[in-house]
Amino acid sequence: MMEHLGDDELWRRAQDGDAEAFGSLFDRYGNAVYGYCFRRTADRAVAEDLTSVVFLEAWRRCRSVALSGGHALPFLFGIATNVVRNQRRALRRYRNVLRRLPPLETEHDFAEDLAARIDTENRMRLVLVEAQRLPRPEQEAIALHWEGLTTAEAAAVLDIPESTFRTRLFRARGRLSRATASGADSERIAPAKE
Amino acid sequence: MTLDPLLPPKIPTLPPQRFAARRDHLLQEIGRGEPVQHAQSHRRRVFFAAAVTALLGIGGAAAAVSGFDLLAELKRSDDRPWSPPEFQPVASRIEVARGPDWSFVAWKSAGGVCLGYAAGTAINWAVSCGRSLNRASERPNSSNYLITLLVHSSESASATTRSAADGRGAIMGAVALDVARVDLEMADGRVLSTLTQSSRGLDASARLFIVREQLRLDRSAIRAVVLYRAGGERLERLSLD
Repeated sequence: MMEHLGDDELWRRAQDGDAEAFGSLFDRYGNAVYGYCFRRTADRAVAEDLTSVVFLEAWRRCRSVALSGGHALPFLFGIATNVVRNQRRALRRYRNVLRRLPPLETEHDFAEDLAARIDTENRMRLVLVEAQRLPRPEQEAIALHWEGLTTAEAAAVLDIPESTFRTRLFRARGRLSRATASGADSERIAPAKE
Repeated sequence: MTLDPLLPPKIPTLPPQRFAARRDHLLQEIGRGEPVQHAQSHRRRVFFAAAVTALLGIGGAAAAVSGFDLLAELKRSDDRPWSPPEFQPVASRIEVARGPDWSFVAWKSAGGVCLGYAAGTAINWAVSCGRSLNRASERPNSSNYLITLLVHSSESASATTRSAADGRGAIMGAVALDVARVDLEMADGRVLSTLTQSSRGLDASARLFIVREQLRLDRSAIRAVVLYRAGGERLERLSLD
């Protein structure tokens, strides 16, 4: 019903207490936020919970925040960045709320799908292994780049100048390129040496 | 496999049902008012994990079982006098994973974290419970990260036990929150690797894993359990020899 409304109008209505308008923002960006949280954590269950936390935080703060550029996604990614950074605290804070989520159907065959899940999660985890060796500012830059944000949007999310964001992204790409070209066994996470 | 740092692997979106459930939950919480609850921090008592694996057969159970419902079977057993107190749930049991004729469940109990599994028939199931280790403990042969392990082989032990139709057994475990990946070193030379998962609704400081493979009856098929942190750092190698 509200698909034709822009983010800024939905946001204004949410600020007036219109929960359905906020629900439309979830329809629009729920999967984008989930994808970002999954890329940062490589854990589907945690990514789902963090997605809920991001939108609950966004609702809690929407009255005091004006959207920049008329788009909600950078603001949501800004919250998601902080939530992922402090995920244990965030999940603890919203523990009672998340407990009220009704039981969700388990996947029909965990094991049959496991290979595909593990493949996706292993590949994500391998990329994350390398990305997590980066300094945190570069980790965040590459993660937002992966989400398709423009330089300007990503810089706004991180509250830094665009030139700083570009520098961080350039360094992150360089380090990841060198790391992935090193010829290490990329199919297994290397155990620590004895 | 070549890693392209500019194009991370495509990931699936939330399935429509889960997406809708999350949306509904969000709007319900908005309708309740201020959703933020300040968590009470409290110290948790932790002590040495005594993993107990018990195969409890209740052949001839009076209750008719329609469909494969391990949760219902376990609930029925809670009221029976022989049901060990350490298995009694202190919170709801959750079904972690299932197939057409098998089910993996978990719950918090007086005994710590319990895992349950049944295959072929829900009326014969296996349970294992354990507690997190107090890392200050210096007990020998104890694990700092493995809370409990449960093994269900591919082979039937007797007429009262059965296997899943796909012929696979299962190895399941509960591990500390630090553990991101588990390698199971098998006596036949295989190494079965799996990632751990958090599990909503368990309300315990534990992550879970399950591997379904062809397994020998003898539990000694597992030679060692190796636990890793996210990032690949090895936390512990626990020999089961």
